[in-house]
Amino acid sequence: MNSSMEEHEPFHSCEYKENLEILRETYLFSKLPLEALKVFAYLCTKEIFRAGDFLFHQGEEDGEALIILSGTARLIRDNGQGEYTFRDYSAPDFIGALSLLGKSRRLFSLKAVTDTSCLVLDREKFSRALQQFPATVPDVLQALTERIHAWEEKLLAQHADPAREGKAVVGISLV
Amino acid sequence: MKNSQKSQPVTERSLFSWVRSSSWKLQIALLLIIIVTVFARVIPLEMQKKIINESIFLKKTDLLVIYCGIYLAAVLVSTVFKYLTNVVQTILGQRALAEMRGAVYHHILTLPVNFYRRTQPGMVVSALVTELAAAGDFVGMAIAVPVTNILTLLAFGGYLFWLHPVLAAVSLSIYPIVLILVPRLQARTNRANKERVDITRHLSDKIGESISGIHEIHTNGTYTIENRKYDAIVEKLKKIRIVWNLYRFGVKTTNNFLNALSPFLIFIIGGYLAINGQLALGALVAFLSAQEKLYDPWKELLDFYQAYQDAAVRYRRVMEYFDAAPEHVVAPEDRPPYELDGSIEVQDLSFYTDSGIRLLDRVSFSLAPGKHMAVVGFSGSGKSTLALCLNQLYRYQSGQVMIGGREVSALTKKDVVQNVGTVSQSPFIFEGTIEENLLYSCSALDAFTEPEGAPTLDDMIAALQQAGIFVDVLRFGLDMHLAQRDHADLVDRIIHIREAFRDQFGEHVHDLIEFFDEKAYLYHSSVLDNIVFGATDHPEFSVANLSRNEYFLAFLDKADLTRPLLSLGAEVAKQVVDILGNLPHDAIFFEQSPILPDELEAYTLLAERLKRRRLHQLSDEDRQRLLDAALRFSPGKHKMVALPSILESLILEGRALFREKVDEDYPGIVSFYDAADYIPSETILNNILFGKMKSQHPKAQEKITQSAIQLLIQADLLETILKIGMQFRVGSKGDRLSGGQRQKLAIARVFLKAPKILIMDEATSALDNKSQSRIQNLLEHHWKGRSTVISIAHRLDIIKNYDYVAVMKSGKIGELGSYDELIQKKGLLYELVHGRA
Repeated sequence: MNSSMEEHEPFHSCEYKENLEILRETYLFSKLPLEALKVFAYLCTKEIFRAGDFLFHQGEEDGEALIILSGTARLIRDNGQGEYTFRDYSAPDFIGALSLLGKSRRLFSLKAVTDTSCLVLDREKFSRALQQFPATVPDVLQALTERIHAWEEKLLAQHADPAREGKAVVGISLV
Repeated sequence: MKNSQKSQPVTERSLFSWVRSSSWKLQIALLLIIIVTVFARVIPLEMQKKIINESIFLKKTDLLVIYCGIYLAAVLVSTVFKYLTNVVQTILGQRALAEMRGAVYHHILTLPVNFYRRTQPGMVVSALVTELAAAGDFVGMAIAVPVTNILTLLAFGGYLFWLHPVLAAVSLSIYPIVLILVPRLQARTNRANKERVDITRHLSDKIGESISGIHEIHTNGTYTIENRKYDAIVEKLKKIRIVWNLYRFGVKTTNNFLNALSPFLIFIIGGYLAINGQLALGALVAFLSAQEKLYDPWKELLDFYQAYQDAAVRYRRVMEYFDAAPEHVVAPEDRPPYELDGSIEVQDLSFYTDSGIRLLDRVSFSLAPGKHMAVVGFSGSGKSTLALCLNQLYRYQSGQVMIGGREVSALTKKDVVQNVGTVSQSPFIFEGTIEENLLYSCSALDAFTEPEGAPTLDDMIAALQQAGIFVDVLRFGLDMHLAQRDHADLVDRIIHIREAFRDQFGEHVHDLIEFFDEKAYLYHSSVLDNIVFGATDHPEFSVANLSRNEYFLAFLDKADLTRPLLSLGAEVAKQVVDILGNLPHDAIFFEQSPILPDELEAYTLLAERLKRRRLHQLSDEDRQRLLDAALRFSPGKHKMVALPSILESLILEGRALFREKVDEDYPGIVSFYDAADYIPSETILNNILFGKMKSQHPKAQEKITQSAIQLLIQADLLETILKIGMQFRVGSKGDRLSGGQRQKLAIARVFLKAPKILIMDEATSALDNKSQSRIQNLLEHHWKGRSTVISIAHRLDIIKNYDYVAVMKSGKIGELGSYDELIQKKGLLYELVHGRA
C-alpha cells in the first residue's frame, strides 16, 4: 500500500463536510443554496486513480464531472495519427460541467500522471438531485454560460488577430 | 346480468347498475335479515305495553317473566341481526368497490396515450383510491339502509295507528313540515359551503404566496401590507363560516325541534284521553316509545340522502373524467391474432395534433419483409411520430399504414403486439426481477402460455448477451447473497474461486479491495461486522436481531461501546435527516445512507427529539434506533459523518473481547471470518474477494468484474451466477438500474420476443459506443432477413449499412435511398452528415 492511499484512510475526518467546502469554491455550485449544495456534497464520491490510470477515455460517455483534490492528470487526444498532450490539471480544477448537463462523448482522455484523487459526481445523481431543486436550475445554467463566455473572451484577448490564426475555431460562446 | 354489462363501457354505467350487478343471493339474504330486524324492533314496544297493562297492573309475576323474556329475546335478535346487516352491507360494498376499481382501471389502461398527455397521474390515483370509495360504500348501503329505515318507519307508524289512529295522525303530522323545511335550509347550507370552499382556497393561495415571497417581505419590511391582505380574506372567511354553521345548526335544530314537538302533542292529547279513560296507560307508554323510535330511522334516512348525493356527485365526476373510448379493440373475438409477414406499406400518411399542427405530411414508403430502414432527420422532423403511427400508439388521420398487407388502424391491439416490437427512447421498466422484465414483452403473446412456447433459459441468456446487459446481470448475481443450505455445492466452488482469485489477481486489484483482516478496522464494512467479525445461523444473533439481543447489548456495555455508538448514531441520524429529509424516497439518494427510505420518517422525528433531549433521556425505542444507525454505519460508504478514532480503537478492542466471550458463553454459534469458510452474510463477490471493494466507481467495478468473470468461466459457474442475477429486483420504475441498463433491458426483452417488425426509436441513445456498435452489428448480421427493422437513428455513423435511409424534414420524407446513393446525391443526408456547405 503506498503513501497516497494512506492519506485518505482511515476515515476520521468528515468527507461530506470537506466536500461541501470544495463545492462552495467550485464555480458551477458556488451560487447554489445550502439545501441543494448539501445533497450534492453528500452524493459526491472520492475516487483514487493510480499513476497511469485513465480518469476517462476519449470517445467514452461516462457522464462524470471531476474535481481534482490531489495529484496531476494530463489531457490528451488521439486524432488518429498520434497522441497530443494539451495541458495538466491539478487541484482544485473542475472538469466536466457539460457531462453533468447532457450526454456527450469525451473528445479527450484524461490520464493520471501521478496518483490522483478526485471528487466525482455523475449525471444521473446530479440531474436527479437537481430535479429536487428546480429553482436552482437557472443558477447552474448562468454559471456555465458565464464560464464559457469568459473562456472565449480570454481566447480572443490572447490572440490579437483571431481572424488570421483561428477563424474557424472561435465562436463557441455563440452556440 | 353481468354479461349484458360487459359490452357497455364502464364510464357509462350508472351508480345503481353496481347495485343491480351485485350478488342477488346476498341482497335477498340482506332483505330477509332486515325484515326480521324490523319485526324484532317492534316487539319490545308491544311487550312494554303488555308488561304494564297485563302484568304490572294485574300483578301477574309469571306474565312479567314471559314478557320480559320475549323482550330480551327481541332485543338480542335485533342486535345480532343489525350486526349481520352491517356484515352483508360491508361485503356488498367492498365487492362493488373492488369491481369498480378493477373495471375503471382496466378501462383506463386501454385509453389512447393521447389521453395521458392531459391527465395527471395524481388525478387517476385519487379517483381510483379515494373518490370511488364513497361510491362503493354507497352500493353497500343502497338497499339495506333505505329499506331498513323505511320499513322501520312504516312498522312503527303502522303500530302507532293500530294503537290509536287519531293520536298517530297528530304525532306524524310534523313530518310533512320537516320534509318541506329541511331541504330548503339544506340548499342554503350547500351554497354557503361552496362559498366557504372557494374562500378557503383563496386563503391557502395567499399563504402560499407569502411563504414563497418571504424574502421580499423581509427585505421590504412590508409586514403590514401582507397582514392587511391576509386579514381581509380571513374576515371574509369568518363571515361565511358563521353563516354556514348557522344554517347547518338551523337544519339540525329545526329537525330536532319538530321531532321534540310530537311528544308534546302526544302528552297533551294522549294525557287528556288517558285521564278520561279513553286510552290505557300502557298504550300511552308504548305510543311514546314508538314515537321516540321514529327519530332514528328518520335521521338515518336523511344521512343516507346526503351520502347518496355525495357518492353520486363523486362517481359521476370520476366517470366523466375517464369517459374516453379506447381507439382500438384489445383483442379479436372470433379469430386468433394475425400472424403477418413483415412487410410495411405506408401511403400518404398524415398526422395532426389535436390543435391542428401537422407532424407528418403525406409520408409514403414501402419495405419488403426483412429489410432494414434507418430514419434520420432534424429533431422535430416527425421521426418519432412516424414510429408511433406504425405501432398503433397514435391514430393517424389520413393515409394508409399497412403491415403484412393489413391496415394498422383496423387491427386489434393484440394483432399489433403479436407482430411488432418497439424499443422506445426512454423505455419503462417495471418493478420486479430482471427475469420478469425480460419476459415482459413475450408474456403477452399467445405462445407464451403454451407448453413449449415460453422462452428457455438459453433464449434468455442469448437475449441478455445480444443486448449487452449480460455482464451487468452477472454483476447483480455476484452482488446477491446465497443461502448456504440451498447451495452447498456452489459454496464450495466459490471458496475454490477465492483461492484462485488471490493467486491470479491478488496483486493486480489489491488497491481496490479491503480484505477481511482480523487485526485491522474494516472501513468498508459496517460497525456491526467490525465488532462481530463473523457470521451466524442463530436467529437471535442474526444481523437484524443482534441490536435487540440482550446478550449483545450487555456486551456493548461491558466493552464501553454503548455510549459512543449512541452518539455516533445520533450524529448519523441528524446528518441524514438534514441532507435527505425533504427528498423523495428514490433509491439513488439512499445508496450512500445507512438509514433506509422507509425509516426516514421515524428518524426525522427522532432527530427533532435529539434537539431537546440528551441521549440518556431518550426512550428505549429511540436508543434502539440510534444503535441500529450506528451499527450499520460504514465509514467507507457513508460519508456524512466521520468515524471518531477513539471509537475505532474501542471497536477493535471490542472485536477481540466479543470473540473471547462468545467462545466462552456460546461456543460455535458464530463462525468468525476465515479464509477457508463461506460467509453467508456477505455477497457472492465479497466471498470471492474475501473482502470488500473500496470504490463503487464503474472503472473499479469493471476491473474486479472482469477478473471475477474469468474465474467463473474457468469454474464453469457463469450460467449459475447469471441465473441468480436474473432474480435481482430492479426497484420501482427500474430505479436500481442505470439509464443504460434500463435501455439494454428493454432491447433484450424485444430481442427475446423476436417480432416480425422491430421498431427502434433512438433505442441505443443511452448506451456507450461499444454497446451501440455491438447492437448495430447484431441488427445487420442477425436480424437482417428475419425481421423488418425501422430504426429512428440519433447518430449518423450507425446508418451506413441499412438497406434504406429515409431523411425526414418537417414531417415529410425528403430523401429515401441507400446511404451511398444519398451521399452522392449531395442532398439532405449529405447536409446532415457534413453540415451545411
